[in-house]
Amino acid sequence: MTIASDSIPAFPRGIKCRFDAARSVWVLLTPERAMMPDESAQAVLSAIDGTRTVSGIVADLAVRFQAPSEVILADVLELLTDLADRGIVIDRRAVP
Amino acid sequence: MSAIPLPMALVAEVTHRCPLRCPYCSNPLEMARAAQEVSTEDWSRVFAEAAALGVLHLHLSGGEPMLRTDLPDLIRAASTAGLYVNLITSGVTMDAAKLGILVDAGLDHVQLSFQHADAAEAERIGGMKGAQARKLDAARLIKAAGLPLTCNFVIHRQNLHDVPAMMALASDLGAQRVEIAHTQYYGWGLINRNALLPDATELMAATAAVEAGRVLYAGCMAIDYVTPDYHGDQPKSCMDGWARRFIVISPTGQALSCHAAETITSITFPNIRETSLADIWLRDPAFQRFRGTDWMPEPCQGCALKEQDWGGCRCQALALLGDAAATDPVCARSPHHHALQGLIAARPSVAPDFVYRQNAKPTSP
Ligand code: SF4
Ligand code: SF4
Repeated sequence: MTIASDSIPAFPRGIKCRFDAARSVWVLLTPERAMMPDESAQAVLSAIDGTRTVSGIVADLAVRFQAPSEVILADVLELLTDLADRGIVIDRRAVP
Repeated sequence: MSAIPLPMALVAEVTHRCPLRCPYCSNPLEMARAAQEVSTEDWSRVFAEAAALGVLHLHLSGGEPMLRTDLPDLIRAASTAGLYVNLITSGVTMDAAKLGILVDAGLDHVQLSFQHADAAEAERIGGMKGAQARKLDAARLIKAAGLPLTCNFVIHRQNLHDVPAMMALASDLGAQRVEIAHTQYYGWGLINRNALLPDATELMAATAAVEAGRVLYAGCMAIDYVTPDYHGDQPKSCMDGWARRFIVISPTGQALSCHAAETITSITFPNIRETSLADIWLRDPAFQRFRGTDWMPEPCQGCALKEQDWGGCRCQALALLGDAAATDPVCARSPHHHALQGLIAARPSVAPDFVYRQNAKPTSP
């Protein structure tokens, strides 16, 4: 599945992403695993709410990390495409 | 002692009641009655305590957890606390309405257990007529609800030749994952060991079938293989180490390091009705008893693999050697390893009849 800048990323049923206060990290939970993404991935995953587009998320991150949005967009698309291929992220735009 | 790791998963055995009678059931011989079970309120409090302590996954298990009429409340409490909620069920009491309520309450995943791919054999092993059709229906309902599905098959000498059919059934049902798990010899499984234990040839064939399945289903279905007790030269890393990742809570609220831990009668386990989960995990002597590597005798103490398998299984060491603190005899470095080989060799060539799990243990005079 390709994720584009107007995609609306969301977590499908069976995937949970939340802040774990005990470890002070965002965790990504699948049926069998608990993944602890690195800090930049955490910034992206924590912004996914099933309503915001990729470009909206990228615009926020660009301000927050004071980096050019083209660079951030490329990184975010790479991360989300990889997760979409593994069934961890879906594109809401594609599922009405 | 190094820092205490944060727990990753809680296994809540919410009841021992079950319509099936599997002869390898991991429940203890003496099962809890409905009246002794932990209340909705206490479970809900424990789920919140677990999430605060760092637990990420909750496995609702049993017995048959769907026999708890408050299951939707339990799932809602756990989901609200942030836990990932996995239901481990036989599926025999599931219908569309019940599943819908569980999904609305926040259920994330279902692990559906099977006794065999063949209906007649499955029902002979599970001791319940009509069970297979209900399970197949349950699988379809779970898929229709859009939940990810894992099928679980427990294998032993009476069904392991049919591993290919089990994987095919799971794949037909649309499972994301199939777990092929060898029987473990505790509780009912220990009583039925001669009826369950495979020999080396049977084991090799089953392992080869799993390997072939991994190739056949690559990319569409993941295959987990739980290797058998007794065989091999290095023990399993039981529970990933004593009180390192898992907390198991029994239907009566006993907090345990694994399902079978109560067989170690020299240890007094705490109860969640009296002690907070944080106190249990961080301070209770039962949870400290075999944690880490300090407790280890030789040959484990000087072994390079001690943080890989954590010395194997304490309940197995107890069951086989009478000493829960000994090196697991599955290990080739254990002085008792040869006794285990003898035990496999002494297995009767024809499997004896099953002793089925029964709810009321006959009381001794
Ligand atoms: S192993 Fe069988 S009898 Fe035991 S709880 Fe599971 S389905 Fe019920
Ligand atoms: S000696 Fe102990 S730590 Fe080493 S492999 Fe055997 S059981 Fe594991």
